[in-house]
Amino acid sequence: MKSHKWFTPWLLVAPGVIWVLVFGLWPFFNTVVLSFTNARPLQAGRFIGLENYARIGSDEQFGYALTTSLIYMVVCIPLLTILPLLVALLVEKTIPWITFFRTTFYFPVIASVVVVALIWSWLFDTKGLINGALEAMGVVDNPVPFLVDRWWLLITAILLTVWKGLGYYMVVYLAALGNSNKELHEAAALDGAGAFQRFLTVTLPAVRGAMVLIMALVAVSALRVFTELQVLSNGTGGPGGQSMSLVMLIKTVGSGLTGNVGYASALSVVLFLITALPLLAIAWMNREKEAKA
Amino acid sequence: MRRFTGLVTLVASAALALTACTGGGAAPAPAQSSGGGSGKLSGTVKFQSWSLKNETFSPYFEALFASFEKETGVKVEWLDQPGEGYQEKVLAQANSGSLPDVINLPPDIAFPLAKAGVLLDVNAADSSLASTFVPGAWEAYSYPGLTGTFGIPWYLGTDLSWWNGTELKKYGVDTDKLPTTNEELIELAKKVGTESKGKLPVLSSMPTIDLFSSSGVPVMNDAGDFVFNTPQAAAIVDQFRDAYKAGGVPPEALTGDFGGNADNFKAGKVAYTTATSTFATDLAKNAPTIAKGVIATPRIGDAPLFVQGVSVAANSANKDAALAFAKYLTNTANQVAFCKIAVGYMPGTVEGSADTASLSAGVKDELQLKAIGIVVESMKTARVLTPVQWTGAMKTYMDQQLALALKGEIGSQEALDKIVKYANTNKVE
Repeated sequence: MKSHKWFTPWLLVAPGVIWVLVFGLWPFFNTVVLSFTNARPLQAGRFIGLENYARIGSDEQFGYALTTSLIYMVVCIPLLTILPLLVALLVEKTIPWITFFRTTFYFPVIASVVVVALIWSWLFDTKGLINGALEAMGVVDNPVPFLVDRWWLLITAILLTVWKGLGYYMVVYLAALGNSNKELHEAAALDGAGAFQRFLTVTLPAVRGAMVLIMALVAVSALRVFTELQVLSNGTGGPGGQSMSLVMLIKTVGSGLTGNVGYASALSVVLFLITALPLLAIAWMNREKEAKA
Repeated sequence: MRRFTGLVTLVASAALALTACTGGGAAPAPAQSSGGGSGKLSGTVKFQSWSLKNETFSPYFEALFASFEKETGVKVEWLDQPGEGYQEKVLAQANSGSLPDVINLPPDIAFPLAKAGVLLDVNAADSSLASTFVPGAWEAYSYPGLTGTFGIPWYLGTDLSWWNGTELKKYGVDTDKLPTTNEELIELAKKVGTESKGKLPVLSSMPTIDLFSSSGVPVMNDAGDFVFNTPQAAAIVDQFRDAYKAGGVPPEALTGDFGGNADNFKAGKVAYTTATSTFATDLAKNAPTIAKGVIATPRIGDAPLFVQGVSVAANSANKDAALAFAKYLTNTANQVAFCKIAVGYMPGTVEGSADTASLSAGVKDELQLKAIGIVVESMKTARVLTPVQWTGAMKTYMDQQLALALKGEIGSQEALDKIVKYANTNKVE
């Protein structure tokens, strides 16, 4: 049998390593370096120390963007962790037409978020279908400013995110539920445990791994929210830019021929740190639980 | 522990991907401008237009390229970019040092490129050009802090005021005495908004820097600082706020989401818009019922001057031929021929802009003829209203703050002070 050359393993891992270096590490380190400069497109910029970071502290827009992103995360994590589980429990059962219902719940996932957000912006317009219906039913006298008020805009965008993400996380839970031990359910039922008790003591532990994963994924995507708010607010972030997310702010600051690439890079680094923190916390909590188990 | 490590890896990967989205890099070294050259021209030049390759304009360009090749022996390779994302495309080309030899650039997009030294100083290359072009258009390619002129005017435009006379009459508006100042326009919006209970907005966008400029508010001072936070500008915003409260401005205008003014005008959703003279044919084709009652008047305040031009890449490998083609494309005969197809636009040369009769040749629509007449008249005083230093991020910030002012959440003066402070802090130096 012919032995491998010494470089064979290196050759095998080379595509992956090159990919990570070129598309992951190099842009990241470039972003960190740029964050200490006053670079603009077509201008290399000069080193300005911590000036960009100092500016973040006094930037009113950053305050709004951080608030928006954090609220988005805090609201989306429980909604997109619990609701898909409940839906998965509903569609897990084998009943007639169940495939239709599963497909229906999954359908928003395959629709383009831009198209969906555009449709929602028409629906929630002051002269849109929702306001028309509310006024026709006498629920409101004047149109609800869904798209031109800070909090309404945020609520509308969160609803859109939840509606669109529900089916995706439902599928993750369905996979986890499919692997759960059915005999434990039967044993618990025989021991007199009710449906809610079985949910708490059997179902939840069975899907805990999936739940942690979903919380992590939702935390990342909520902090990175862009398309929903961008389309619903027509790129303005709402009046005062108060409903702007961090990614929207980075895009606004850094894009175009005159974009402030240095400051946008500093914002990106801060977003990196902010994104890492809740994920590390979730991972740490999960580790402690595993250790106890 | 393995799961923890895995999650940490996931975190790092996601965050790395997340933060790897900013660009930026070293600028290409500025190239020295060269003279027009007197040697024999040859080879190929790449010419990039902006959304002009279509059944209307393609035959014109193909004939022009053929005649240029016949005269000089230089072939023209034509690239046409779509309307959307043009700035980004140009930025990518400039970043990679692959700007086409001759490129269609309006003054605002040419400005950062000129600052980065990637455009040729056409005035240095051929000092006889300056006297050929309309002064306002030629000066549009000279920038603060830079010596030289970085583009050759190609065609010019302005816009007009369009009124839905049929709808306005329903609310008692005398269409023979339509507003001639911005103050009167906003007052009309308030009146119609009140009487129609918001069903017929007159204005469908927020105050812009153009509005301030055309109302006589000084936008920048000689030192290059933004200074439009004046009591006069605050009064305009106050007036706008009152019109908004009265329903004369739709709520979606606060996020610029009311759609294009012109589209809403055609749909009968708004009683006033600004548009170029070609809007008449658009109305006749797409909104014939509304077109019957439409009135065209000169733009309120100072008319804006829209300039389109061509620049030559400083690092062009065939600079003499590129400059020769840019001059050929923008000579009077070719500009006049182009403007006969691009109805409503005017040539950027002094001689061409004087030939107004040929611009309306072949036009039969009465409303459009009237509109062209107004354009010709307005062009005499039209000027560039938006300074090139005004960036997209500044506009976004202005929209955000004025939205708060219109909602009454902050005062007009406070909003303007914040906008001016932001603009001066974020000026492109």
